[in-house]
Amino acid sequence: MSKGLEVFQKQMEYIQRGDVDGMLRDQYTDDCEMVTFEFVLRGKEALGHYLKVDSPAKAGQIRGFKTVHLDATDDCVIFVAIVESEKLGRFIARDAFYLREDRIHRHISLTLPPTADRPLWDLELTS
Amino acid sequence: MGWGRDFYLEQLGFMANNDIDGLLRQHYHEDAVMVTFDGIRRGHAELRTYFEGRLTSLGTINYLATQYFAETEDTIIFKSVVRSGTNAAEREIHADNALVIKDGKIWRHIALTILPMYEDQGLYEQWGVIWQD
Repeated sequence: MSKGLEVFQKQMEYIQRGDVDGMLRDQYTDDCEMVTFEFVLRGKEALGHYLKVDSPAKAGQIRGFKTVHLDATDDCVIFVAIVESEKLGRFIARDAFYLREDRIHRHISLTLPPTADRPLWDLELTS
Repeated sequence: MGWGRDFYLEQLGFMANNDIDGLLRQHYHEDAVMVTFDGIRRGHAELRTYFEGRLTSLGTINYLATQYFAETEDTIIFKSVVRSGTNAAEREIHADNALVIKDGKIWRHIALTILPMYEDQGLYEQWGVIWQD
């Protein structure tokens, strides 16, 4: 199993447990960044605030998560997942991790809000 | 927009001109890795094979729109729509990409693009549900 896949599986375990502090401590580098089309977050403190405060306020409770595409090397993870959330409904998460020393150094998210993204049927039928 | 936009536009220019030599020499580390859902390519030789095949299969590009773009000091992310082929058989691809830059060149090219061939292999069912409340 690649290092990337190990990190991804651990990430899913932390998310399922709701253990944001543990996830940040063990999974991310000190100088990590989350890069999205809406914002860039630098460092564990900023990521922690987003994951514990901003994201739950926006999406509400995450009720389901289905990974539909996944691949990994020793320093990269890419995945597409369908997420069911309390406030946003169903949306497609398109994320990647770039790892340094087996931790997430760049968390890259190409996820769009459901209203801005192409519809789910489009993902399933075309590209 | 800063250096990343210029780098991205230059990348498109190399591809539009079918200049794979220039693209690899100027934009990719010799040991760069491209990570996609249809394969991993390591180094210039594998990237060259990929780009040659990709540009050939795309054929004539009729339309390219960059819908979303963002950059940091070492990362570029973008979403674009590409339409190619003849009117009778025009194809549309949604390209979702990230470039991790090191020393001014692409170190990791990450593509979250889902190709139609993968949609046909039932991977949605294969990966299954990690959890569902």
